[in-house]
Amino acid sequence: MSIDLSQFIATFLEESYEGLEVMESSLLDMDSADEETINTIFRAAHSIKGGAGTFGFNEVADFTHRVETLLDEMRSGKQAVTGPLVNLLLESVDCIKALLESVQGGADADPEMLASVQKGLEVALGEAPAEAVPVAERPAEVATVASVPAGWQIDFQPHKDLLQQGHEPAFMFEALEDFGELNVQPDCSGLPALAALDPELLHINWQIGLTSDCSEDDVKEIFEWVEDECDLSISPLCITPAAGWRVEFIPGADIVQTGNEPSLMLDTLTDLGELTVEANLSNLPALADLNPELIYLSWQLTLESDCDEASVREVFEWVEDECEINVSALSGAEEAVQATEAQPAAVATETAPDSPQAPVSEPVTPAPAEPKTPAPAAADKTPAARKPKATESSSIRVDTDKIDALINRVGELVITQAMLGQIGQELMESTGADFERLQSGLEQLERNTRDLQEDVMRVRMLPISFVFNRFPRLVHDVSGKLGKKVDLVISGEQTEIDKTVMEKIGDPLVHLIRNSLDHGLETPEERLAAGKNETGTVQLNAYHQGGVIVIDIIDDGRGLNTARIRQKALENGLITEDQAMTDQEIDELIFKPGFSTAEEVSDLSGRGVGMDVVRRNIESLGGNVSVRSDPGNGAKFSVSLPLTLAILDGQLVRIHDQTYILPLVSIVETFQADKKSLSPIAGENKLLHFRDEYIPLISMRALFKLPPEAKEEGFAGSLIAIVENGGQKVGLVVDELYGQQQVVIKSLEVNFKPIEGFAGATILGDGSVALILDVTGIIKRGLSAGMAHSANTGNGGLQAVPDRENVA
Amino acid sequence: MNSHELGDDLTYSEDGQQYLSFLLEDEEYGIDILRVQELRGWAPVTPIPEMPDYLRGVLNLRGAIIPVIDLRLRFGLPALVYGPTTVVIVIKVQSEKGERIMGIIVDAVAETYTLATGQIQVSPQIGGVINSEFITGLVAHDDKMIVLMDIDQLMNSGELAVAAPVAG
Repeated sequence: MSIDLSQFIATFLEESYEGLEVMESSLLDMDSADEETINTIFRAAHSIKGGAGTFGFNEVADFTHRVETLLDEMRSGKQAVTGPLVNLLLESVDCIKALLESVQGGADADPEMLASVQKGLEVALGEAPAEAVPVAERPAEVATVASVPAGWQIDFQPHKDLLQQGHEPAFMFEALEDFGELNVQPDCSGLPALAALDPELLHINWQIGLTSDCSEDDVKEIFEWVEDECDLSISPLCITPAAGWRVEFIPGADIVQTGNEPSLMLDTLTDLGELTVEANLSNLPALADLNPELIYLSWQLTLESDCDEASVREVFEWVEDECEINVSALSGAEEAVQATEAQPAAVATETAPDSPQAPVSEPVTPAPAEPKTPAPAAADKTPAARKPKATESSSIRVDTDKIDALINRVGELVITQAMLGQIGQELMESTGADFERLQSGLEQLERNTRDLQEDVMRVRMLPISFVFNRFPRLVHDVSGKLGKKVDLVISGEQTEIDKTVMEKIGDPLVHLIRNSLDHGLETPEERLAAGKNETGTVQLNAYHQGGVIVIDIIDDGRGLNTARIRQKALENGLITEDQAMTDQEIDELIFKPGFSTAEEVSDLSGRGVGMDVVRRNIESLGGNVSVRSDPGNGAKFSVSLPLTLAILDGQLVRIHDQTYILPLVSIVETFQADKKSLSPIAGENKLLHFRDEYIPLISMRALFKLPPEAKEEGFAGSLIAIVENGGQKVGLVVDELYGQQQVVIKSLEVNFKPIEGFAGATILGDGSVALILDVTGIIKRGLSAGMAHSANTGNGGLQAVPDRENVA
Repeated sequence: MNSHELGDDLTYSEDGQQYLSFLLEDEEYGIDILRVQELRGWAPVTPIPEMPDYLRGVLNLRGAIIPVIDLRLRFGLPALVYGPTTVVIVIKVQSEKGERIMGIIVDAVAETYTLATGQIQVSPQIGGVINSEFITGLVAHDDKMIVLMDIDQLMNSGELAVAAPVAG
């Protein structure tokens, strides 16, 4: 077995993170000690432990093993499900996450946090701090058995090319012998026939027993040079009476069809100890009747090991429902068992309702994997992937690159279709003929491509629950810290949104929710005094509205303190004393840069990152955020986001002789300016009077250093698009407004570089490229340049070239 | 600069390496043929405001947006009116951030040569329009001189460099 495992590590990590999410959401759902919920958590933990063991992430495996043990005790009713215990498990989830992140090359897990949670777990398990126990080893509870290892059991599986790398196992064994008595058992089962034997390859594995008082590190050092060229596991060798388990393993006939492989389980058992396997062939049919996809064998296994029954059962955990397993103790194991905490009860509860005693021929029924009260997303993230059941695999993992390629291809198709449509139209107009069939064919093509595009876009869409399901935990922790009582009500978590948008929206939402908890909701005493229910409510709603997704964060707290905001804005010079503003407008000031009303910097929000960052992040995704406040009764923050970043609704505009795309989302209004609304400043018409505001104008021609239009003197009669970004409105002077259309966003960076002022480019129906204007960049460049409209103004941006000729 | 090393890790087979040559102002230039993706006729491109004149704009190459550079203008030669013989050579350029596809506008494509390493002379310091840092070597071929160009170096210079992403 010399498979390169690294390719699977990414998958393992991905699945582990999902498992942790499942654990977390189920833990928050643990009010009732619902057996199925605990089972779900247990399974998730178990998968992480198993995977971590496989890939040699021992720290993760050891830690998770303890968590699993605790869960097991809860499951068997040995431990009551209490609040502190649930909190401890939640902290454990954080620890596992941190450990996994450090495996992934992130920062190391915080040792203090680890130690304290570890301690908590040990206390909960009532165990004396024992030495770290490798996976698949007897659990630490077996405190009766000598805890000082009498030596080491080394499972040495060199890769085939070990010898070619210049290593020699024999030398290593000799070196080991210096530590103590050595017992080497070669495993020659992998040896090919002599004719096929390549003398340069190594086909032998070794089981080495070393009786010595050396440390594990001493042993590891011997194998240091070959670490990457072999699979090595070192486990303490304990001198125990010959003990073990007899296992009767009668798999269901169709067990292999559900992706399980008995021989792998037997392999796993050999890790636990000395295994003797007897196959029972009595059920084998005649060769003619043999269905190669069915299993007719059953096995009698004798395992000489000091492990406990649970470890044996664990091996068969995934196939419990598809086979019959009887485990009985060999003499000698029993004393050990009495010392351990055997959990026959646990085993009974662990089996799914369709009991394992079912006759072999019965069809497999999927185990109900969902908790009775499915936490958001737990339903669609049950460990189906980890529990290979043919009936459950309704999803596949696809690399996002593949989907992106598909989206690009479809984008091309849309453009081709637009081109064909145009040609068809011209053809019909020029010949005057009525190609009805052509026309209906083209219309059909258009419909189909549009549908196809929508379908492909939907492939990238995921339910927003992936973001939402971190919030129950957040609210739980934060409200605990603040001493507030909060109910979080989530709705619309099945609303779908593009994966890339989803990845970026988490942080702003966290900030908004923290803000509601921190500043919005009052303490229980204040609430009672105000005649409210002492438990506050935070609602999180997501829904589609037109082509956007809207997420509302609503609290029933004290609302915004408009007077305070106004005062603060005056202090910071954001507004002037005589500015007439509605309360609504004043409330919106909290999104202005440099605005923060936190009296003292709290641990949760504040920290100098304010609502302006939230707004900026949301706007960079092409969305926007607004607030409505009802003083005394609460506030509502609304975030609206595009469903996808690959397509935007654009307003086509002409500047000089080129077409540009202006994102519709940032346009407030478009109109033709008249003389009255323009107010001259120092003889230049640069401000526009628009709804009681004076907003600066940016001439796009001047910004792009293009020859001015004759009528542009004073902008009277010019077409103006009022755009807003980050609370700043400006008027962009353009030459012409064309129609609006959806455009596919293409990056300029891929083959060139990002250019300030442009969000990308798109391809129009005629196959030509049109640049997409980035309002943020345009405003920045336009205002910093102090736009005068002579072409010899100073540098309008980063890219200006002094001696530029305008070659059309 | 990784582009200097590119010459070293190219494996020269016995019969040498193939170059595609093109004309600029009656001079012949060669580029490694493996870098050439395709040849296209001239079609109008979309200009990008406030870019140097040699960056003529971007075009749609089967869904990818690629920048197009006029080599005449890049080297300060007088502009030509684009006509039916004007060719856009689509090339693959290596830069720190990976491969970029770009187009270069040349007067015409000439031929392909197979050149052995021995035929290539190290270029002397040349003053004038073409900075010697863009030249990998010179080859004499049938009484004419072919200048071998380092496109990576050229296409990652000046305004074409991969700038750090601008904030905002």
